[in-house]
Amino acid sequence: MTLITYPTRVHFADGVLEEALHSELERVGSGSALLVSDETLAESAFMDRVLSGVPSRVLTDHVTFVASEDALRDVAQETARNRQSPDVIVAFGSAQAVELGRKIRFSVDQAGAVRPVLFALPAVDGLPDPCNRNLESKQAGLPSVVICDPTVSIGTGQGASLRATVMSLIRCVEAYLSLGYNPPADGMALDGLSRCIASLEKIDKAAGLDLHREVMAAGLNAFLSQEKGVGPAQTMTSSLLSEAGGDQRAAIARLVLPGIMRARAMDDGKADVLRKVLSGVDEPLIDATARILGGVELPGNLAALGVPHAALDGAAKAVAGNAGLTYHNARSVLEDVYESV
Amino acid sequence: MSQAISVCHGEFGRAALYRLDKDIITHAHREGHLIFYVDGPNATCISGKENCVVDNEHAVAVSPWEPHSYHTDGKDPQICLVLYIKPMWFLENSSSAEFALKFGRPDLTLNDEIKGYLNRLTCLLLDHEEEVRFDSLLFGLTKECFDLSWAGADEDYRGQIYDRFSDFRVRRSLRLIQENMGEDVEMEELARNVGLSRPHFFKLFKQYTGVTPNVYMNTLRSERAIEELLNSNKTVTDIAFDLGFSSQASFTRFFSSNVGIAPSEYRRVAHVSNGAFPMM
Repeated sequence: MTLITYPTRVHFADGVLEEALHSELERVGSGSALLVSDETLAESAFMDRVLSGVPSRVLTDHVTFVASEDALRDVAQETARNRQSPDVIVAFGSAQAVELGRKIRFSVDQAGAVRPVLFALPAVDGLPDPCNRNLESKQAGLPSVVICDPTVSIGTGQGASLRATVMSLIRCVEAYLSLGYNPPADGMALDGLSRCIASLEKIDKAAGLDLHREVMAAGLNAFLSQEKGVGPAQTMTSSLLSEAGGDQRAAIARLVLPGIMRARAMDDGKADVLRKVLSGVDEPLIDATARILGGVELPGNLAALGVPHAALDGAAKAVAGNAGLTYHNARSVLEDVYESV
Repeated sequence: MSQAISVCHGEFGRAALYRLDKDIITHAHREGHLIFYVDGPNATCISGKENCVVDNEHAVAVSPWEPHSYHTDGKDPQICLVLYIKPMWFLENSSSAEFALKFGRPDLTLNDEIKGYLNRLTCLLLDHEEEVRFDSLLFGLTKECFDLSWAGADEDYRGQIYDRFSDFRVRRSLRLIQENMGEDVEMEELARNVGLSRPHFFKLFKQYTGVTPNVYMNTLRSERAIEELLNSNKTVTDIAFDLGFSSQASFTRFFSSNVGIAPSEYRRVAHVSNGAFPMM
């Protein structure tokens, strides 16, 4: 039996941010909202737009963090301890900000206060992996409302769009290949994938709202398709990231995905559908994946990304038993891309 | 003196029956707005650049944030049904609506279906009846008007949006207006705070938002005033002071010229509908 739950309301349109946020805050009858963002957004246009969408009667407080320096769990617990409990958390900007919003909600709930509603307003990379190894990962940890306004991505650099698209592609592939029976998630993964392929071809040639819209749509589909859970390449990447530091998620994940696909158990029918989406020509699935991800201008091996060799052991252990992978073939995948050229 | 006959608030927004014998100055709403004739002399509504008649054959549809004004003959009052429909409520109950509830054109020639909805809604408001079908009638009427407004209209217009936030000075001014709503905000000072002369500020603000800074600020103040009148126990005088007015009289003048009736009259008549329209 499969239970498929999508508890998230999604707004998706150019310029929708302020009116959608205003309507949603009114809808839940919010009296206090906690705004959560990366510190770099504290005085940004994005911040101005969020504040304009907050009804005047709603009291606001703002929590910021320094990406890749602050431990999100500590920030969340301190926020839950020291600040007035909000009825809504509005997390905007990066995936880490949304993740922090999710952690604050969890901490507030654990502290015995009324569980706040979480709104996510993603920028180009703005939706985190669902975590499946702790309570925050449960479906209740998904945002209640996601407001996708591609105009917030205007001015985003080519590199950020590229990394976001690579990460979406990896999530879509992993979600689609996951053995769980979830037709809506599979549909979103395939749609997200085709948008990623089209966007990757354009990123270095074009900019503009159309591209931002496609990158954001792919990201949203990738995020929602992960109702099926996190795949082994993502799990491996998270483990390596915790050792390497920095935000190299897309760069690491694109190195390990082809090897993981080679080593993992795969349904032949699904692999064939995936091959057709990834490559119009008669090209094996893994070759097509490696070609697409290999064409992306990101560092070419794990050592160049600052991953210590000692981190490989933990990463291999983290995925052992997942999708038919053993410790040994997972370790072999990692060794293959550690110092490869 | 203009009077409120019935005012009903709900998830949908607001529906009101007014007896209006005074003009309402140029103003705007966050909601989609519909004005229907019920009885009395004809009136006119200027929406954007169009002069539209409100009579027993014509209604007016005003998109969110579209500046408009209402004009009577100044003698006998017109009884009219006015709706302020929240775009998201409309979207949630419709399978194909635009989020913005943007109408294709303001002047609507009423058909029999719209007249039928209008009669039934007017009766329910006159009788102050709490009925489940009130919300579904409201939705039906709004949907009919929305579709009618797009019949033969320029489809390219549908995709146009105001990019209110692409100029940092306009963006900053929107924030300042919001933050200083409880104070007497001088436009001269607001312009200076965002580094512009007054005329340049007005031009830029109108270009990016579709309304003048005054209309924008008045819209926020009206919204806040209505909410306080409906949901708080504050006196009208306290509400006036909280919104930055120097006296109850000046607040009453502001409210009457922007909303159509006096604040105490509004509070006397307004009530919240408990009807929950099922999601489709």
